[in-house]
Amino acid sequence: MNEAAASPNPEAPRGVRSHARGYLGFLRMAAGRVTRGSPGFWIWTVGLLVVVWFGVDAWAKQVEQGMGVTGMTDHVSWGLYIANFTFLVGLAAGGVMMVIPAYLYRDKDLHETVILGELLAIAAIVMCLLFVVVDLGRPDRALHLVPWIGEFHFPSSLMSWDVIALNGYLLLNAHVCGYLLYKRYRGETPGRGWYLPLVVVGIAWAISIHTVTAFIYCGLGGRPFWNTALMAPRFLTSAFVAGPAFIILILQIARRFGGLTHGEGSIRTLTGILRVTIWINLVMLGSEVFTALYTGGSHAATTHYLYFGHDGKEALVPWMWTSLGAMLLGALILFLPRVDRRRGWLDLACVLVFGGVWIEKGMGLIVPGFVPSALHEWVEYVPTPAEWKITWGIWAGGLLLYTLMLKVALPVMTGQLRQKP
Amino acid sequence: MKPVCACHAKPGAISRRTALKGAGAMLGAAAFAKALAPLANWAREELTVEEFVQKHYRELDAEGLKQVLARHERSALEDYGAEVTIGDHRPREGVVFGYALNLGVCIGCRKCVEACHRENNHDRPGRGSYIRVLEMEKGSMDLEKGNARYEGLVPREGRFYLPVQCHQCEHPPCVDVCPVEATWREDDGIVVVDYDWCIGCRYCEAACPYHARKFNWRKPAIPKDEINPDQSYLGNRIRPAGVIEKCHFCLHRTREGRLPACLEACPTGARVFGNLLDPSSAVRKVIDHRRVYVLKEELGLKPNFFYFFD
Amino acid sequence: MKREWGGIVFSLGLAVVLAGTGVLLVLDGLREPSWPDDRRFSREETSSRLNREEVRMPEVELAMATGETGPDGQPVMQTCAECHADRRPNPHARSISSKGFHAGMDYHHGAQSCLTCHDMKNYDKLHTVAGRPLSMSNSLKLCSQCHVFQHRDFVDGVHGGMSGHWDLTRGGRQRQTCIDCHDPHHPATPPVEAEPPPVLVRGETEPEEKTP
Repeated sequence: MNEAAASPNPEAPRGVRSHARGYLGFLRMAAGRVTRGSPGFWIWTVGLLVVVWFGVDAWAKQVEQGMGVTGMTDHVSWGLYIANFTFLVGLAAGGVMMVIPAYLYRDKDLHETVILGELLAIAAIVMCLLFVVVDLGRPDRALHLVPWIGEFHFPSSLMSWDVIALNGYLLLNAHVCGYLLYKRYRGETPGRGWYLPLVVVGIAWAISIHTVTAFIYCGLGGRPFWNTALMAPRFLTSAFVAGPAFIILILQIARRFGGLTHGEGSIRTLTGILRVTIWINLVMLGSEVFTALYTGGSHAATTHYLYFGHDGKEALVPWMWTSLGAMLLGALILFLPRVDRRRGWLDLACVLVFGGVWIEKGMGLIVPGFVPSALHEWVEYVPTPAEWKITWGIWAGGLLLYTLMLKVALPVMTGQLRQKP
Repeated sequence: MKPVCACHAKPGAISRRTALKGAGAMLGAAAFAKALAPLANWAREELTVEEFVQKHYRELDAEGLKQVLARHERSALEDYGAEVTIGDHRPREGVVFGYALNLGVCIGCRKCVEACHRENNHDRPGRGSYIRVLEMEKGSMDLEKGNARYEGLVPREGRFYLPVQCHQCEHPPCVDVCPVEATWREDDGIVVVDYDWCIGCRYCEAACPYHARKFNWRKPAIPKDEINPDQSYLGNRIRPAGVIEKCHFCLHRTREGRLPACLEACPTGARVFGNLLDPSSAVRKVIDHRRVYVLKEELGLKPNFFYFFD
Repeated sequence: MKREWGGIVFSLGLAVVLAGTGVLLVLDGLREPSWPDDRRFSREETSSRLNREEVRMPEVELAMATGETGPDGQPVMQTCAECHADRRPNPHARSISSKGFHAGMDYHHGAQSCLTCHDMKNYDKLHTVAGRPLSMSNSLKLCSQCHVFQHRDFVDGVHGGMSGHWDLTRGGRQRQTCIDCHDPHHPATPPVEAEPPPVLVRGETEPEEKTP
């Protein structure tokens, strides 16, 4: 390693330039590390790459032939892409449920595992940005979104707020993760001034990314299904369901394959959080459904369509009942005391609530905002194979990024990977 | 640090494994290059450097605008084989356009829909139009009871007809939400789209409560001899794929003082168009002396489109 | 402690950078795309001279089929005056009662008799309610004597088709007249075939009831 020669004693005071060199060396080491691994690692990454390939292939064709290859129409003008975008903003924000106890309340165990949540935020935001790009009719004009180069419509357009929120959150997390891992790698104690203020900003920022994303939808008066003040709170609670559920699963995988020694306490804390947030989420959902169905009238048309269909149009009905069933079952399982002892039950509950929220926020929230359309026409939306390919391609790409980041981060955090003195 | 993998211990294996990885990487790169081929193809055919660096319509100077218009005229000739003139029609001071529609005499014949389709160079297979006519049940203004897909002889017993197009709101939510200022309300009240600036995110389409915005899901297909050659940059020129379009009150006609195509096509005279700032205009007479109804007025968007019953 | 200072300076610096970016963003957002070279408005001169609004005065062919076919294969037509030169008109003939030669005519115009509009002194003319003769092509004046609301709407520009200019300083306007759309003997307009509905898109189904 080059930087080792530059500074034989890591405790010695160092200039900014040598730190910059050192950080580059750290990144080089990381790049080298992710191109080596066990057969299992290769099967997993090459498998993901194949899925990514199908996504890239489908997206290139979508750009060439036009967005007509998707199942979207002028009636349902946002579909699977924006649905996944919305869900993934939540997943990115959900990691904050680890950050708060880890840094504000000095939870020892979470302090060792919180990097998983922060890296998840990075991967999720990258996926979000990709989902926005593939949804654009003119990706070649994406530069028009860049302040000063294009015409950035800030602060009027909530989309411009989201551009700032998402990219800012990406930078915050990239800095905090990079800094902490670099310091660990060098065997140095991180200087609190270098990351703690950003962590605190990051907590507020995590709330803001999902609030702003909710405001994109709930600020539209012409879409009664979205035009509810409960949208942002619902987004946050569902984020605090999906995030912890995903991380509980990842923690177990990291303990099994990544040599992570901590995590028991983290899983307990996150399970406790999940127990509460899933019920808040269900209560909010119930409240929305009651308000719509009891009042009736044209504003309830969408809710009725979601759960019971409309005149034989029932594309979303199975999705919605699956989602509701999964979330309820998961919530009930989480109540059982045995989930603390038997990981199988916990894992089942996590998968159920994660899948339930994915449906609820995707197909169950973005798509029905357009059904019926603004002139009350009933046009359903069913994603085409091209959309599924692109969607799974982006998910695979995100998982690949997350895997590679964890492959460097886990040994650094457990102390297996240290710069040679 | 323990060895990362076993190969570090055996120098002979390094080259074999590295060679394998190298071959794999090459193969992977070739596969991805193949997947991206349509993208390169599209960029070659549909994109030019001038278009890529083109400024926002409002920031073009006179010379730049001239070049842009000439370029679009050329590409209409290359892509569609049609000789067209693309003008830059600007609003007049002291004019704000308004539209009023007499639901008492509209018979739902869709002549306006068809006229818009032809005038505005809409995609032929998709039979695009900026106007949608709902067949409504008498005794109700509930859009839920509307049917846009009626066919056959009109008007039918017990029904009335509600044509809907862009309401050219004074507070257009579609303009507020656009992240790149590709759409704005002009001084004569017409909400326009810069088709060369729109990124195709369709946020405006979600924001519009009148279903007035349409997306170009594919490149419009129009036979050469059906193309209306009298075109305008912000108006009826042939739109590229992947951008939003909308009713612009036929600004290539109305800004020259002419009536919009949908009005001229209306056989019953249900459509009334004019300058809202002129108290003697036909549209002002309707608003001042009759009882007008504004669709979804509760949203507070202040449309310049009014319905009335005679 | 040196290290801590570095962190504090870093944080403060970052805060300044972030705040600066925020200010720049707002400034950029508030910056509207400008209009160079006075492109904002049309600079076309306005004229004070008003062009005319013309109501069509169609030529009316005053003849009726006799029901016979001539040697050229065309139906034999006869003007009112030709028959009524020696035939007295029936002043009571109206939609329900028309018989004989006029029975084939589709006449549904309320309780009006033929002579309400047609002038029995000069069959090439119409007459007003007051009995003054009126040209055959001036249906606007004839009809408006009874249909005052339709006439008011016509004058206000909210009844009847038109074409041309909304702005009369820049061009004229042509108006359709009553009989361009309404058959004077059967003024209720018959149903018309609507232009085709929008193309069915993905995920849309035909309504159960779309045609009568």
